[in-house]
Amino acid sequence: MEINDNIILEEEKNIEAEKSSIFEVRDVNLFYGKKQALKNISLNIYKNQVTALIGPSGCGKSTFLRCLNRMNDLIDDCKVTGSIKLDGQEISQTNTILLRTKVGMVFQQPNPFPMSIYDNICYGPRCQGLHDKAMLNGLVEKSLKEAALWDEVKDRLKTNGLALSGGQQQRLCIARCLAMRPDVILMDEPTSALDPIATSKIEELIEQLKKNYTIVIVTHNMQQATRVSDFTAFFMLGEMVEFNSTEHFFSHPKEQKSNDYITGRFS
Amino acid sequence: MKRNSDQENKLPLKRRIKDILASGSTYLFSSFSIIALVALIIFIFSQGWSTLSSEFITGNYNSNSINLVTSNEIAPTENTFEYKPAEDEYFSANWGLAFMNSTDNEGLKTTIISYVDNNANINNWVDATTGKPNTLIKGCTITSVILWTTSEASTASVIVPTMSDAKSVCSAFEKCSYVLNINLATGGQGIRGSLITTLYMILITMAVALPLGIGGAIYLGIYAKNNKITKILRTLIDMITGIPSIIFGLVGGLIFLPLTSGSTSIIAGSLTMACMILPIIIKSTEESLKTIPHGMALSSLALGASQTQTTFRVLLPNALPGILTSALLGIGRVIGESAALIYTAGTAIMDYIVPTQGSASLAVHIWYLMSGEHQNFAASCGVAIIILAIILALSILIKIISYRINKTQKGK
Repeated sequence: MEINDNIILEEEKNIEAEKSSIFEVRDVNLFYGKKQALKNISLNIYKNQVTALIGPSGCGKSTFLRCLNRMNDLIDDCKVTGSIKLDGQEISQTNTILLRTKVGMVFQQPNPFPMSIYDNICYGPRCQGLHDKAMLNGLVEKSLKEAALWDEVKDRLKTNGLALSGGQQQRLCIARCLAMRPDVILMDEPTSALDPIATSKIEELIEQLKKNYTIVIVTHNMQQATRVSDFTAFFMLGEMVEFNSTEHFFSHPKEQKSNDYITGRFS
Repeated sequence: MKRNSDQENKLPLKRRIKDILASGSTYLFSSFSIIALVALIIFIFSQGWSTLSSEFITGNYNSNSINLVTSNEIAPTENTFEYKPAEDEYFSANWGLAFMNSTDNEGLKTTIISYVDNNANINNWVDATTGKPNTLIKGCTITSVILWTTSEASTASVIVPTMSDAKSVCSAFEKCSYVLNINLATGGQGIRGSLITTLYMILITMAVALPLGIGGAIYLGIYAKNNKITKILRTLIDMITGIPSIIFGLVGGLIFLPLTSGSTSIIAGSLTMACMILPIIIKSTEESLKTIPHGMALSSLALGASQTQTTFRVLLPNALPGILTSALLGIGRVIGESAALIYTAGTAIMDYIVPTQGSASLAVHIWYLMSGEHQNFAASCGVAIIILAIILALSILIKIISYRINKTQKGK
């Protein structure tokens, strides 16, 4: 057992050496009023890797995700302490608008704007003041291709985004996010409202996107976490119980709680 | 055993009676409200339908009056003119004029000149203002005539046909020796001026109230923190909705009259109306902002849009059907309001509308028709039909626009 652990520790060090981290989170505490929702979270999110956040409902994984692009700022009396650095820069010091152009987000419910597919994708760039027709056209095509939606919608870019199927809508939301050319994409249970076929398409897409983007995904589905992620962080009751490479986390969980959760023996 | 199962199949009598009473009363009350509504519409149409004519809707309110005076006193020659009067016409063979009972645009009884012989003396009488003979006499309403009779006791008599009828006017003409003066009128009693005033008021009121109301709703619904001040503000807005319109009229008269032209004006009336409908627009715009899925705003913000961009590019376009409905409610209020306008836009019915001058709207027109000595139900109901028609047309228009917006937004 001891030898095994040592090997894992060795591997972790290797990971640290190989991968450069894009997010460095240190001692983050989050309070909703007086209620503490996150307790002393510290972890690194590595560049061009998929990090899955798993845990039971209400454990704070989505809350933590929203810390990364400061969406929690929108909630009254929500207070975050500690340090979150994006590329070495403290995000609490960055302008939220600039931060969110670098850190995109995809939500649980596919929620395209009630406008055309084209306008949906151009929404973000236009908000940043980009109005050059040729550049927008290029951006739309590139984003849709990256989101594996181009072939399905290239002939009907003027149709309303809401006319698409649920899975297509979610991919449109991903494309909309990609149009901002972000460094990191946060996904908050992106497949929980979709059927298995649409889910597998999104999972394939995540595999593809990994090459160019860093992805943090919250999921309820442990199989999904094993399928798509390179790293897994297990949250429980506002604390991060364990963070490890997905392979090791699911084969050799260090903590008893993690083991219980993975095996379904969860009280 | 059998009896027992029978009893189990039926609800207890007491409960059944209660159910029947409760459901029966809801049917009764709802049927009452429908009957009241239908009765109102039937009453208005039965009373007002006869008044409606294109002349009534497009005509001036003030009639065009003609005052004819005899150039030299001409004695009538006996029975020189020949004309075969129709059944309801009365022909004066001495003067070559036929008279007929008629009604004006408001449905009031009048006497008109229905026929003028080509050689009739009246063709030579001159207009008091122009000094030339007036040839457009046929069809004119007689307002008053001054006749001179020499045959009996040399008396001058003033005939006002509205007090009598065509037959007595005709016989008075037959008896008299001279006509000194005749007052005629054409047109009049139309509601075109009030109609245009109403449209002006809708335009000005909406131009003021919509931006203010939408702005207020955006502040309350999106930017305002959920604290005590916001709560007090909301309560105040609710309370404004309950203030009687006559009080708005008084305050509007005190504040807006000195601010605008000093006397009653359409602008002052519109500003008062804008204050009145602000809470309606704020409330229903805020409601429609609330119904937009929260995820829509969040995903816009997550794409790096600012709160302002989110508000104007995502939230407002989605709230548009609700805003239009609130505008319709506001317009309905403007069209139907009379009390608040009496002190601010005045009660004078005008034909040529200038926004800086006072003029009665359609609702005030009704008030004016009903406030005189002779209450004119028919004409009032005629105006009421016009008001109902405008509201119906607006409702349909806004339904169509909302449907179009929904269709393009939902992509169906």
